[in-house]
Amino acid sequence: MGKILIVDDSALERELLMEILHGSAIQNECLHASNGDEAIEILGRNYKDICLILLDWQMPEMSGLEFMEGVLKVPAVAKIPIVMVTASGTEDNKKKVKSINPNIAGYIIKPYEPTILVETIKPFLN
Amino acid sequence: MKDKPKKCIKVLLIGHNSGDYSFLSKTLANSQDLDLEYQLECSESLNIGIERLTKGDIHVVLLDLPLVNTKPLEDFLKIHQHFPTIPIVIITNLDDDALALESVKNGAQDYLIKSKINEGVILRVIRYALERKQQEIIMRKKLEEAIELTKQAQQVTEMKSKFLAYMSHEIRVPMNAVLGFSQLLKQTSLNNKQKDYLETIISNGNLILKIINDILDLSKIESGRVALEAVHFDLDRLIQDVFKVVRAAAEEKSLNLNYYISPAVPTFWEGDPHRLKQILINLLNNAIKFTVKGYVNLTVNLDQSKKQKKGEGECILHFFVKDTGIGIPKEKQEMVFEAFAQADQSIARQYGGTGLGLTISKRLIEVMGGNIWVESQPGKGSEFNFTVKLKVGSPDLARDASQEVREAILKRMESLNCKGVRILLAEDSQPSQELMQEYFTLFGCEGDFVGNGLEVIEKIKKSSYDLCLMDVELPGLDGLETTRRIRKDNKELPIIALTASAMKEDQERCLKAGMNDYLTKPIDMMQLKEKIALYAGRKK
Repeated sequence: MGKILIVDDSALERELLMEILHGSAIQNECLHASNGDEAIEILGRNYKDICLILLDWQMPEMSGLEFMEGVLKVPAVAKIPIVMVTASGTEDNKKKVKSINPNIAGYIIKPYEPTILVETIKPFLN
Repeated sequence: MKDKPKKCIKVLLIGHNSGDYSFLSKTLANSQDLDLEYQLECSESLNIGIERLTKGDIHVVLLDLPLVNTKPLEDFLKIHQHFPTIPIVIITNLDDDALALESVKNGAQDYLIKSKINEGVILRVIRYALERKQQEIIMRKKLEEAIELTKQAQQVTEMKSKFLAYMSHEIRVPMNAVLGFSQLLKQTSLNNKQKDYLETIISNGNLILKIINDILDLSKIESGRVALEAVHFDLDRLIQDVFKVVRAAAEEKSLNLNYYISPAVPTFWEGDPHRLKQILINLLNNAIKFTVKGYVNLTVNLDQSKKQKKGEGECILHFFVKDTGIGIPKEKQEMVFEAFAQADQSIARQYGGTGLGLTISKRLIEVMGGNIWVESQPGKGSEFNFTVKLKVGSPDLARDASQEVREAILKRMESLNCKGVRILLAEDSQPSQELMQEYFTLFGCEGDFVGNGLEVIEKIKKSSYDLCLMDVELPGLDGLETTRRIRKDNKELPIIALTASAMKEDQERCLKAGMNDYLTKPIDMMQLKEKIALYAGRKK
């Protein structure tokens, strides 16, 4: 089974996500990163096993967008589906994300319905 | 004393007034002109006049208006258009300022009103008319010659560019074979002597390539075809990058290599960082090359001294590279910036180099609105100075975070494997194909080979490949067009261009056509391996 990389600067958010995933009987191993640098570290070492990235937009120092843009420039990891989880649901922001990553796997707005989250990510978990 | 023979000027009066004829006849006969004598003829109507003029040898026309037409200007125009090289003076009773102006505008030499003229006026006017016409004709001829020369010059420049591009390509392809097989040879077991010989072959091969690149670059800059970028960049980082490139050469010679940026210099600038790097690397490499011991220092200041015209937010940056090298004698200091001249033939051979670096740097600096000059003492060292005009930049626009992320990820990835990758290679040069075959075997890849664009498209339909390596210059359907056609319904297949051109625009064109990346010939084996591993990534 592939691993899920969760990138979010809030420990609470990450805990919440873990609860939701366990509650839906999702057994994929989860890797955690609290900022862009950690995410890069984990991605670089584990890219072969990672099947999905759950990415928060608002992060200090390096935003989710910048991280995603960089990932897309490395072909070997660019294929990994990315679901963006963000507090901002404005059309402008959605457009911005789509313009950077037209193939983005999903865009979830906080606060989200747990079922919606699970439905969005299920197709990518093998 | 013999009289100098006078030139005979034939004047044709077109008009039906006999009074005019006798008056003019007398006037012209009484001419006191020392070198001209006049002969008067008369034609009564426009058509007879035109017939007479067709026979040739009339020097000037006196036109009596109105003749037949109610529109006198049309009479004048008819003659003028038929005989554009013959000056026409209008003599008339029509005291019409507007008509006078119109006629002169349309090419009449003068417009005389019969009641207001006398003998002296007529003679003067005829004389002026003749001279003015002469000038007109000379001027027109000069213009035509000038246009012709410009056209020829343009053709020459055009041909020069085509020639250089052709030569560059033709040299690169066999160089690909020379350097490629040399690299493969390096991988075999060799004794020390063989290794040394091989290193010499490889380094000289690389020098040949550098010479071609420099010549092309210089030719582009001189024909004004180089466009400077306007991007925001971090000057500190740029200099650090430059030092990364040159540090090894300095360390090999145990030279002290340092830089100092004055605190008054802002960090962020807007300009062309690639070209600035090119200049700095050239100057630093030269300094290192010609210094045996001591140091090479780079200093950056803001130039406050000169009051030059600057645009909004523009500043003049002053760079200088100081070394404790062999120096340059005064009489040779001007020459160092000239193309194809190194200060001394023996120096060129001893220290290596293409002899073009400084010329290219000088041109680039001039395009950037600056100057370059050298102060040097043989035996003590040299100081190369240059200024450039740049706009102060913005820190937000300078950061390319995504590029940093990319590099960080790449650094952390384990060395990638390209074993078992299925590659389709489109390459029409036989030795290049053989070379690639050798590489594939070494890497553990499987390769299929085709020689033209149509075959590529065929093969892709029939079999599946992880990667396509496509020579840009294929016969018939070229690499770019082939890629465009493939991309119409296949967006997933990674296509890497193999191009003989190191020029940025050509590389951009590859990406625009739908290619994912490019490799410049001659292909470096390690770079090839990296790109194959990178693009023939995880399969879903």
